[in-house]
Amino acid sequence: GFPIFFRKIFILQLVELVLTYNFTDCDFKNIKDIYQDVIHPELNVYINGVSEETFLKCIFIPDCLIKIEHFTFKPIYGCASLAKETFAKQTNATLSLGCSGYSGIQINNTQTMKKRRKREVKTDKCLEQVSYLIELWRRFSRIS
Amino acid sequence: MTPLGIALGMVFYLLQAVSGESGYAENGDFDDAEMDDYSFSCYSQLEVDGSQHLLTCAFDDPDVNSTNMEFEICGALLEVDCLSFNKLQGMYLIKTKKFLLIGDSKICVKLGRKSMTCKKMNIVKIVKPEAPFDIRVVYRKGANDFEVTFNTSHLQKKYVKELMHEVAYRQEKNENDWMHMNLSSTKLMLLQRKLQPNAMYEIKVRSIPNTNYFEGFWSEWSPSFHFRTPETNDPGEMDPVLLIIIILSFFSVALMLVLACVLWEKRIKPIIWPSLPDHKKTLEQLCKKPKKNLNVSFNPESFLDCQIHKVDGIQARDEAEGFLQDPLPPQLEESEKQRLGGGMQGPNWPSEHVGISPKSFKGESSFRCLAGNISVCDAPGLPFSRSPDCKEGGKNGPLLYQDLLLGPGTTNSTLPPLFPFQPGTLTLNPAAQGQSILTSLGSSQEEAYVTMSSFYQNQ
Repeated sequence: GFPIFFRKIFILQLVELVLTYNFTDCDFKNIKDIYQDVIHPELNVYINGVSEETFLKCIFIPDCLIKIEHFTFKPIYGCASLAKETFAKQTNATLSLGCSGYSGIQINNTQTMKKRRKREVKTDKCLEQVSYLIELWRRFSRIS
Repeated sequence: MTPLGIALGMVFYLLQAVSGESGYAENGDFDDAEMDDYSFSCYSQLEVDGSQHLLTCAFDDPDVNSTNMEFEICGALLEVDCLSFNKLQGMYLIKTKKFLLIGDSKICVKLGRKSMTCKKMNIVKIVKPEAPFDIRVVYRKGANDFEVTFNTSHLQKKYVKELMHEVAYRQEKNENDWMHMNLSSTKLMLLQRKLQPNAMYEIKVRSIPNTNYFEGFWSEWSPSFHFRTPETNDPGEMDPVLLIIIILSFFSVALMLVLACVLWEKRIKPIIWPSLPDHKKTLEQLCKKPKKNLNVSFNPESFLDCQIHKVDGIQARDEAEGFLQDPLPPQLEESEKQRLGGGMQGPNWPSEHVGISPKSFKGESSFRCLAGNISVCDAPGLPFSRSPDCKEGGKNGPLLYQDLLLGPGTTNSTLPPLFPFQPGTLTLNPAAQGQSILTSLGSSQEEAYVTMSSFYQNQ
């Protein structure tokens, strides 16, 4: 019954904890340089001057990177295509390059080029997500 | 078979280890270079056309036969795995937005499908900025310097924004004597004192990435700008207009000092510090044009042999005239008494001034002395036309002393008469008169001086 159900959930959370990368063994300075000169301009282009106040914080440097990975690649209701944006791919490459043992997120890079490009729709939810990312990256840049 | 296989394996292994990979990159990542004939170098230019980046590669040896040669880049790309270069006049270019700008890429020289040589390059480490442009030099006279400004397209770019600029300038006649200065901004001040005056200078600028992440090479030099330095380079040199003003002021002051010294005694000092009149000298001045053989003296003893008529109080002009015309006008006593009683002032008498009325006398002077002795002579304004003759005066009648008009402050009662006037003919006893004169003169000498000074003022 219920005890079995809760036990399964507990086991799944343990597995997730084990499988989640902790971003402790990373070249934080290199990641910070890439963020300042490459990722940050891309995020500003995406958000296009729309700034939203967020209360999302991260305390430790690995905590910031965990949350950055979460908000960058985890699809959520209302914003499912953020992982295909340029800044998301750059974030994936940055974390793969700067953190030993991090395999990165498998993003399908090969796409069929169409004559008419389908424009990505920037939903409000996606803009909100990017605002979170900007704040997390800013926090990471300050404490690293 | 097993030993043979092992031997072959070792041979192949050794061959692979010795052969290695070709590669020399401009950033110096690789020391060895395989296939030196096909060695090449590349540089990248980010956002050169909007958001598109440009990657340019070329063989190091311009004489290499590049027919059928192609370049290909793989890795660190967005959405694709590999991209091919375009060939243009011996160089290979690729313009695309698909550079990831993170991580290394592999660039290979291909002959058909065969890779002749490959290099691992990082696009962000071979960045060559665009050349600066619009360089200007403006001379600032007030600051004695030259303001150098230039522009760069990287100010509006998204990625490589921070650059280090190198400014080089030289005097045109010194061909290889370039001066270099590094700066991170697009404005520079050149001090005038560090440049030669009245000389032509050439100046140019180039840039290189100056960020923690992007690295690369110097850009091409900007177009040169030529300017000429002003002639005067002496900070201590004065403005000519100011110099003229200073010289004129100096000479004006010197001229004023000279004039002041020259005119001090005669003009300036009397105005600033007027001297009190000397009564003797005043009277002497009155007798400026003495006649011959005239001695002016106020010594009473000089008049001992003169008939002096004592004047009692103030006499009017008319009475004096009448006295001159008539030896003993009878109405004179009455008029005199009236005057003495009624006061001193008449319609013709000046109220403010004290002096001798020239109209009081006509004709010859009644004041006659011995020849050579005269007390009141031809003074300006005085009616005496000639010196009196005491001897003649004694014969013709009474003598008339000059008429003295007193000021408004004096009354007949307060002022003792100098020479008390007595009606009738007065014939002076020289001895007695002399003594009385001396006495009266001694007592009223001060009044005489005061009165005479007043007369002088009136003149």
